[in-house]
This record gives sequence, structure tokens and C-alpha cells, in this order.
Amino acid sequence: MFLLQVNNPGSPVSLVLFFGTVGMLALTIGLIVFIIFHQRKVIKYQMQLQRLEQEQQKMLLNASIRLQEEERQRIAADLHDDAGPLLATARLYLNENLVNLDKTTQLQSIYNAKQIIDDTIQLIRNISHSLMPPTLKNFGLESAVNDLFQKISGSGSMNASCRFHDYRERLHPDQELIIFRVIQELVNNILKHSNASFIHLTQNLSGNKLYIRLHHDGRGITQADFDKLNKSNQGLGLKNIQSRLRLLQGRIYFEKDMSQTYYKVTIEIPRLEEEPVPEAV
Amino acid sequence: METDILKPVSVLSGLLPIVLFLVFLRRNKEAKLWVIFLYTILSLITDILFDALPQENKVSSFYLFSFFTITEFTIFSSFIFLQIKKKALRLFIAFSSIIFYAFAINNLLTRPASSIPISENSFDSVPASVESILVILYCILLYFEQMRRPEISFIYSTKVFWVATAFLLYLAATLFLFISTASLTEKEQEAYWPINLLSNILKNILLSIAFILPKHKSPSPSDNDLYNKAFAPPFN
Repeated sequence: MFLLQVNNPGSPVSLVLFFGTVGMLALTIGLIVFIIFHQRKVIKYQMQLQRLEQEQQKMLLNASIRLQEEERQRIAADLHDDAGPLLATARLYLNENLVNLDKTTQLQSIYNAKQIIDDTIQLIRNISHSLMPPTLKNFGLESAVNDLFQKISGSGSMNASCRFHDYRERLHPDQELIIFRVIQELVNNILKHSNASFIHLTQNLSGNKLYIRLHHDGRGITQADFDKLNKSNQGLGLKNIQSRLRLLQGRIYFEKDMSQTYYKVTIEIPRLEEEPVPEAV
Repeated sequence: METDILKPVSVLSGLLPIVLFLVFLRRNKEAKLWVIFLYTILSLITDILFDALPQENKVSSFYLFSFFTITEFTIFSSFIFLQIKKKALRLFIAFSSIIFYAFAINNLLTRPASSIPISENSFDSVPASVESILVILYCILLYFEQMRRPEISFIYSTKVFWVATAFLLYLAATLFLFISTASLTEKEQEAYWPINLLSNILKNILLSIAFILPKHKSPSPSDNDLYNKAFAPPFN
């Protein structure tokens, strides 16, 4: 019936109406199909991205667990290999036979035991400091980083300096500890791999974000290298940095300086201002 | 002959979304769906009234159609307005709606009863065509906004998509019919009116699908976050 009407040569309106309606329907159905397929494509891409992100998260999780285990092993080894023999030696000096010895030998033994116990105390203090630097806890990130850099400079192998431009208010202690660990890891990497002659650290505040930048003149890595290492099974330390920064919702950028002479690493951390900082003990 | 069969089917198809809405009332509690429910009732009443009115009473049919066009536009545009989040698009809808109302009411009030064609269909094609163009445009805007919203995983799993598709297909299919109604002879109008009836049936089926669909739940963004599960920051 429709086609008969359309084919009626005396009715041009009918033709317009027929083709107009068919055209509009075709356009509408086309639009709906396009939207559905386009969205499916986008979702597929998003799912792929999500899968990649999950894999990355899994790798970070593994790296963190491995590092935690390594740290435990190191502490266990320190206690077993250093503190254990020292205490055993002290025990030898203070054995049951001590009462039967002459007074001079007794005094000598007690003196030696005291020396060994002092060494053990120092050793345990060092282990404890490596776990939680007291300067960081008591005086904050600026002092702890200063301390670390002075120690590096004091060794004479490298010139290390740092400057905090705007650190009047301390961050939350947990944040400070994480940032300090990241800086330690980065400095360790520079010391181990870069063969640099200097490291310079600067801190700045911009808006609600804290920036820490490390410059060095040795061999470094760029963002592309960092991303590559992050996806591979290598670079445990870098994965650890990444996982620590994730806790702070922070970011890290590895770049080569414009002059192509220096490498720079920038850490960007959003400030959490609502958390009050407990007073230093 | 075709019209004889299609007309009652089209009118009866109006019952389908109403029944399904009431059957699946728990899934359709949102205000925007009540608006569509109201529309389905209004549409059914208009169809029944149009059939009940005597064929000679073109003036009443004209006012009935004109009133229905304005109400239909109000319901369609308010449904889309409620869905759209972008301020600029909302402003556009509000502004164009005001222009449409001014035009449609002016058309209704300034047209003397004597000018309403007696021999032709009492349907006033100009406001209906403008309504179709505007609502088609709104629907396209709604689709593109929905596509950009990350919480909507599959656009066709939402009730809004099916309602908008019902509007879009119905109005796209009848646009040229509405535009050319004034230029068609009574015989041609009769021959082409099944387009409107078929579109109406299609619209009612799509609205029924919208009412049957379960509520759309947006997935939580942190559901799959392995890392966040393992390492919750202590100071959040």
C-alpha cells in the first residue's frame, strides 16, 4: 500500500514523506547502534586498562611484601650475627667461675663484659634508628634529611646538600616517615648506581602540594625507564617507592635536566592539613 | 484496511506500559519514571478520546491534539531535563522550551475556530513538528551526555536509554508525517497515518522494556582495587 502510494507520480509529497521517514528512521537507528558500539569499545578499552592497573597493583603488592621480608631478614641477621655473639661473649666473661678468680681478673672480666654490653646497646640503638630515625620522629623531615645528607657529605665520597624552602608546618608523622623512606631509597639508588659527584635536594610548596626535587650529576633514569622497570620484575626499590607514594596519593617524575647534564627526580605529594601533628617527645 | 487493524492495536498497545509499570512498581519508583507513566496514561486517554469524538467535531479534536502536543513536549523535555547534568545543556533545554511554549500557545490562541480545516485532519502539524525536532535534539544530547558518564557501564542497561530511544524513534518516524500533514490530501493522510500508529506501538514496546528493566547499579570504583584493600592509609 505504501509503495503504491510512493509510486504514485502525481504525489510528490508522498515521496518526500516516504523517503524522509525512512531516512530519519535509518539515521536514528544508526545513531543508536553507533552509540552502543562506541560505548562497548570504550568499555573494552577501560577494562583492559583496569586489568593492566590490577597487574601493576599486584606487582607493587608483591614488591612491598618482599621488601618487608627482606627488612625482617636483615634485622634478624643483625640481631643474630652481631648482638647474639656479643651477648654470648659477655656471658662468657661473667660465667660461674668468675667468683673463683682473683680480684684483678674479676675486675678485668667485668670491665670487658661492660664494654661488650655497651657495644650491644649501641648496636641495638643503631638497628632501632635504622627502623625509625629519632631525628625524624622528634624534629621532623627537614632535620632528618639534613642529618642524612650531612652523613653522606661527611663520608667524603659525595657532596650532598639540601634546602627546605617552605617547611614551617610539619606534615603528619606517617607522611613524613613515608617521604623520608622514599628519599632514603632514592639517595641509596644514586649512591649505588649513579656514580654522581653531588646530590642536591630542594623542597617547595605550591598550592596544596608539597614538592621535593633531587638533582644529581651521575647516571640516572628517565620516566620511560621508570615505567619500564615498574612493569618488569626488576627494580624492587623503585616499586617500593611507587607503593609508598601511592599511600600518600603522591606522584614521582624522573627527568633529565634541560641542559642534559643533570638528572632530576620530583616527588609531588598532596598535603593532608586536617590531621594535627602530635608534639615532639 | 491496514488502519482498521492498526488503530485498535495502537490504542491497546498503550495499555502495555501502564500494566507493566504497575506490575514492576518496585523497579520504577523514581520520579522521572512516574513522569513517563503519567505520559502513557495521558497518551492512552487522548487516543481513546480522539476515537470517541465524532468525526465532524474537528474543533474539539484540534484542541485535544494541540493540548496533547504541549503536554507531551512538557513531559518529554522535563524527563530529559531531569537526566541531564551539564548546566549549559539544561539552560539550552529551558530556553528552547520557553520559546516552544510561546510559539505553541500563541498558535493555539490566535487561531480562530473558523480557520480550522473541516475537510482535513484536525491535527495541527507545525507545533507537533517543532516539538519533534526539539525532542530529537534533546535525546541526542542526552545520549552523548550519558556516554560520557563513567558510572554508566552499559548505556542500554539503563531505563533512561530505553525511554529516550522510545521518544527518539517515535518522533523521528513521525517527523516527516507531521511536517507534511498540512500538504497531504485526506486520502493520503489516511494512507500514511499507519506510520504514526506503528511508531506509537514501537514507542509503547520500548517504554515497556524500560519499565521491565531492573534498576541500574553503578559499580563502586574501589571494588577491584587490590592495592587499596591491602594498604589502607592509616591517616585517612
